[in-house]
Amino acid sequence: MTEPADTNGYGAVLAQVRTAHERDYLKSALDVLLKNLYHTEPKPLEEIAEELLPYAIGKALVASLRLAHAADTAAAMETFLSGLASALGTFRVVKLELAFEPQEETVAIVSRWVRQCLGADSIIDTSLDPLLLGGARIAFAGKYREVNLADMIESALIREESRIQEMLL
Amino acid sequence: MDTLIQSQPLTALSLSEGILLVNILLVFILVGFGILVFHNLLVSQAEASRRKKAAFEKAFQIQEEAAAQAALTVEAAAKKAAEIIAAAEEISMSTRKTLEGELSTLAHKHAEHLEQASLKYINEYQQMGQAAQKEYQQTLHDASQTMAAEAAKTLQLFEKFLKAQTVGYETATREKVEQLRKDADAYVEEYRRQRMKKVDSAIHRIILLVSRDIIGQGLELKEHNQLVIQALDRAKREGFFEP
Repeated sequence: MTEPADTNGYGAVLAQVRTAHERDYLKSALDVLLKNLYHTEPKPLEEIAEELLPYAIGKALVASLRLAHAADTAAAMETFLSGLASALGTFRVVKLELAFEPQEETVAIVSRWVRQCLGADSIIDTSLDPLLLGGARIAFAGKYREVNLADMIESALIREESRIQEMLL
Repeated sequence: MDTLIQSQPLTALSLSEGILLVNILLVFILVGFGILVFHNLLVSQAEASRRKKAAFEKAFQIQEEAAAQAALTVEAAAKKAAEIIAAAEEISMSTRKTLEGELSTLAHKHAEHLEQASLKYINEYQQMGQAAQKEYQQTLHDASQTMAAEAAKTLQLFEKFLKAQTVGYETATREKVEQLRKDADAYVEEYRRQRMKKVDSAIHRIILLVSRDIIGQGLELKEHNQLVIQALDRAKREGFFEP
């Protein structure tokens, strides 16, 4: 799946958003930034980004703003931030229920797989269900599929049924 | 009164004495009349008693005469009644004897008639019975002949039918035995398959149970990540992500 052309300079920021949580953090941060524009004593952009966003996203946001000269004027910044907020709504979300609490390594691996296989506009939304034991319960575009550890073992048993029966006889 | 007369003067005495005498005379007259009346009353009473007595006597006499007359009449009536009863009994006896005689004669005649009729009917019945017995024996003979012929024919047909049926039964039995054998084989095969399935399922369950207990709890983060990626790969292979 090919990535769309980054015509408005959001690409670097959107590329750092891998999960629904990160998307929500960024959306909240953009709201704060937009309100900050009209304060009599506005906070510095970097301070807000550092305070509200994961490091990678904040860094990418600041860099993109400077690169697009959007931080030069309040109007330009408002346009950039509003456009970026709208772009956040275009993500396709792959919901994953996992048997364990996902850590950074898991998010990195899974989001990379999702982006490679489904496209750069795909993010993951994880939740926890220890009863799965392993594997994932996947929901995407109104569909549902569960591939857990028990299913995998059962599939393996079915696959190896003839060999098992040979061993039993 | 003598005293009064002596104390009065003579002129006066003469008048008074005259009145007194008149009075005495009157008293005597009255007493005499009274006695006469009383006497007459007594006489009348005696006469009445006499007459009454005479009347009683007469009445008693009449009564006795009437009783005597009545007794005579009753005696005569009783005598007459006895005569009538005797005559009636005589008549009754005679009549009964006559009736008994008539009835006896009539009964005797009826008995004779019945005896004759019975003999006649017995004779006729005997003749009819003999004829019926002959007819029955003939019919029985005919029927037995017919039945024997029919039985022989039916027996032949039955023999043929039995042979055909025997052949059919042998074939059917062979087929049935063959079918039973097939059913038994199928049953055994089905039983074996079910048992294998059960064993297979049991093995699966056992392995899953053990896997859950051992593998599920013992997975490392790296292995978990790998399983998630495997799940996504499988879903992708199955076309889950395709629109």
